[in-house]
Amino acid sequence: MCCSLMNDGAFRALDKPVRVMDETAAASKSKHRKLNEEQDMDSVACNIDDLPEAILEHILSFVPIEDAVATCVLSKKWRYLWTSHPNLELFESRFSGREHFTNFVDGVLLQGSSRIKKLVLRCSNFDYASRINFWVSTAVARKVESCSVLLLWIPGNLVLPYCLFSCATLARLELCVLPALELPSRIWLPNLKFLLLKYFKFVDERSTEQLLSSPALEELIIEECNWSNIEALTIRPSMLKILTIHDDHDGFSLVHPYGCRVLICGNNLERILCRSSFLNDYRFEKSCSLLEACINVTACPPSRTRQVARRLHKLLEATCSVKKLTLSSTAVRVLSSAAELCSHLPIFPNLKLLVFGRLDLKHQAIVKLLHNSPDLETLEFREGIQRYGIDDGYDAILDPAPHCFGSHLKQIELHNVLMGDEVVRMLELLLKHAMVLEKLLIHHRRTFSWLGFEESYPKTLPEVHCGSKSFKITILPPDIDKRPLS
Amino acid sequence: MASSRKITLRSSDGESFEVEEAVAVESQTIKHMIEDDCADNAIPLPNVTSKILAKVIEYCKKHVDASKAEDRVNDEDLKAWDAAFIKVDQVDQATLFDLILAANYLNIKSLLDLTCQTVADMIKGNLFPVRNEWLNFTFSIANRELVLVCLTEWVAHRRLFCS
Repeated sequence: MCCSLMNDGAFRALDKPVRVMDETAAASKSKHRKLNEEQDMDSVACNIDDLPEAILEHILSFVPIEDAVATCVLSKKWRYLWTSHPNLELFESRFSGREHFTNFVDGVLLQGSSRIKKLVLRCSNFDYASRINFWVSTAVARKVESCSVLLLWIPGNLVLPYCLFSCATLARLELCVLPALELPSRIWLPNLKFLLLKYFKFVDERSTEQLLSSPALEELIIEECNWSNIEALTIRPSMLKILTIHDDHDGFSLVHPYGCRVLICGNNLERILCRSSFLNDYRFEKSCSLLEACINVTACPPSRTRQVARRLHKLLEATCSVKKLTLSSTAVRVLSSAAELCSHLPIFPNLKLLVFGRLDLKHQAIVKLLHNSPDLETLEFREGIQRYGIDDGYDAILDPAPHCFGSHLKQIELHNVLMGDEVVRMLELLLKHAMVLEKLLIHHRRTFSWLGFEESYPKTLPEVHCGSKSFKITILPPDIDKRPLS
Repeated sequence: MASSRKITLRSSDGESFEVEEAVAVESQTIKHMIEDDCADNAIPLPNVTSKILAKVIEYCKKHVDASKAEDRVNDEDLKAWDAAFIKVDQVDQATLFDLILAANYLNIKSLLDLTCQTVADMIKGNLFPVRNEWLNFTFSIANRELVLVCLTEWVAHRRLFCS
């Protein structure tokens, strides 16, 4: 007995009539039954075939689709069980060749008729975009809930089927497509909760606004996208909770010196994570729901410092209600270079945790933010401590002390520290006003000796003067979960 | 609040098991029965033998205890315990399949997923359960047809799967 999976490009359905059981087969089947009786009489299910179909399908749903399809040869009962597999993860790299992959995907999508939960498509160097179009349309017709498409190095323009952008069941969409993708003029995704766009080239304002303002959207990630075709955008994702923007490249700065003005109006926004060179002007409506903002400036040439400082200032004004704020060292440097903006930073009344890159009190932004966070409880520096010479003249930088130092600041945590006299001096500048400090945690920097072995870190600290009477210093190994920000 | 109330469960072969309510309600089926007030006396479970019910109760107890302590370490320990509980070379297939049926009937999602994942992992490794052995099955494409080729003694029994 065998199943047919035609390889000649034209796919034929797998329902050729099955060969009828002949006498010898029937005899051996009854022999099988007899053998069963000899086994454990108490057991309800001696064989996997005794399990009901629904359970066999559930078992198969944990098996990757390529292996699940293979089970069709095992017996009559298993012939079509795989067709209800809800998760189609189709990776071109797992197949021996493009034709093999294409035939397999064609077969899988044509055979099943039930709902698909998830479609994951990963292929590159593909010549036939029309095939992808067909596959995605079929998935949409089968009411897909999660669609993840990674297409790189596809020549020419790619057109994903318009039905994808009006799929009522779609809850999760990930598009990582290099070629420019034309979006339909009407986009309606009422159930879309999660959207990831990577390397995406936004083609026109209207469709982009529709897509990014989807009514049920809760998490939006925009990575390395190309904004050069857009001048101004206003998006209103009313349910959005988490927004992540990663724009590390600045290859498009020549096209638009002022970048794209993006205004985000989200009443339910809780977290904003922005790692960007701020070529675009991201603006947020002031929101009381915000809990966390993480602002990481990746690169800033001297010519752009003023522009980026202005944008950072506006960003901080819009996010002044957060409980946790993270600012990278470059962000601090840029902000500090614009003295008048720095002196007008907003107050952060709810801020409990403040995270910086490098501890360097010469930067006005750090000092100003410490003064503007009256209820700050934890202060963290991820990238070590700046050296501070005796003659540097910043001894009184924290006089008078920020309000939080005298009442709320309980914990200071430092990462990537290499202890030394000049480092201790900077630390003391910080600590001498910390009246209620309870814990000082120091994570040593990873250092390797020339032999390649990790050097052991000193277990005790040199004498450090601190304003608080009862505080504890703990020296710890590097914390790999908390990497440097830049 | 009757948080430490004891519930009696009766297996198909008449054996009674007394368990805490928190453990019993790991099963959504039993939970609904209790909510519908059908649990004054013992709850009969006609589809589950005593041997299997004992194992199910062992699983539920462990998971209820683990959820009380809240350290992260417990997650990994629990996973290790689950793996040992269901270890394929120690649990015979009949027990494994009966556990699947019981988890399904009693509606204990985590146990159902654990047992089904175990079988799925074997299938992923091209091993198929036949009469308490895990036999290797592979297939090849010959003459444009998917043909089953088997490497173990199962070849002699291939008529069991004839159709």
